[in-house]
Amino acid sequence: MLDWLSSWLRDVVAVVLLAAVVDLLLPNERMQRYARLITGLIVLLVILTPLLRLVQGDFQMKLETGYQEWNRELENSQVKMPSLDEIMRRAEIAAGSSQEQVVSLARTQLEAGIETAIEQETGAGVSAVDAAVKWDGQGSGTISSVVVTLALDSNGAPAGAEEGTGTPETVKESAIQPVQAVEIEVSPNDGGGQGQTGLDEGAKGGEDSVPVMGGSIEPADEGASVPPELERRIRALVSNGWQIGNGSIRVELEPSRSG
Amino acid sequence: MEMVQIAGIGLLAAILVLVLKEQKPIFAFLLAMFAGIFIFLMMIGRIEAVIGTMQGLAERSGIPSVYLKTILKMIGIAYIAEFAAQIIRDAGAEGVAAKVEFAGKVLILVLAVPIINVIVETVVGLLPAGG
Repeated sequence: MLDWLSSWLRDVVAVVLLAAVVDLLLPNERMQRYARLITGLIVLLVILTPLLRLVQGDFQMKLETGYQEWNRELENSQVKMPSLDEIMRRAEIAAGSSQEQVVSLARTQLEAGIETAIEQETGAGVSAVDAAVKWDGQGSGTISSVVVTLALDSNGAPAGAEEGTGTPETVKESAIQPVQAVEIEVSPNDGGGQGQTGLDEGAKGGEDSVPVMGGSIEPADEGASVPPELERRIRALVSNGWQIGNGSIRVELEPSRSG
Repeated sequence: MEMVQIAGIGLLAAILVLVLKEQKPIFAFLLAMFAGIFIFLMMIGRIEAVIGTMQGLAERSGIPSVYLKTILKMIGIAYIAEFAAQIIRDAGAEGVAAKVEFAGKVLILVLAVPIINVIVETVVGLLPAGG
């Protein structure tokens, strides 16, 4: 009992002292009136502490939560300036999306360029060019694979001759030649490892590209494959023009859906 | 010794303000403002010592930290409001200074709200028990 009394007294004395110091610290009289209200309330609270404990249990918790709620309300009502971190995060997101746009734009332009070049140089109709580009995130990329789909008709020569036998994929174009399309696929050059070197390896052999397309490269076996002459020209054109490794260029005949 | 320094800075600033006021009132104001800020910053370290003492007192006596936080916040608001109001008053905008002080008072009162809440709740809780 005595302990409790002494601790309570100590609290009260400390708070009153505190209030006196605060009174001295305050800048001028105008503020002092308001500050006195607060200090008075706090002194009151400390003096009433035993009573408060008796009546409503843990009133300290209540006070704390009251302050927290109050602060939260104040913060919510204030206009928030975004923090620097938030701005940086948003900038990163925006930069990422713009990077994606850049990548897709570059890819599209690359495809369009290859397509027009092939059409101009060889006269073969190109129905589609599909290039896969690996980006290392620093803005430089590797052309990992390019698939060019050729429409054989305009050049004429290859289509008619080889179509007869046809692998399962290549269509036996008995009736309609012009519809048939040639697909040139460029297989991945190397692992993504070397960023720009992928472009430089023009000299690599072409044979590695072969297997993917069901033997389309060997014209002798399969009827619908790209004629070696055209394939060679396209390979040379693409590998010279875009410095894509010859080995990663695959020329194939797309299986045509002939009626 | 520090007091002499501060008094010297204040006097110097006052004289310079007098000289400048005739020619360029805006610079006189700026000078007064910077002198005020300088003195304020010099004294902030000392205030820190006082506040540290208060904190020690509060910790040793076991007063809940909420009280101390409230009191410190109140002191901070009062000082900032007062300081800004004085500078603005120096610039001659008495009305604006009054508004700043008003804002300070409101914010100090806001600090009292949770405490008042607890007291009122207690009183309300007491009433049925008494009746």
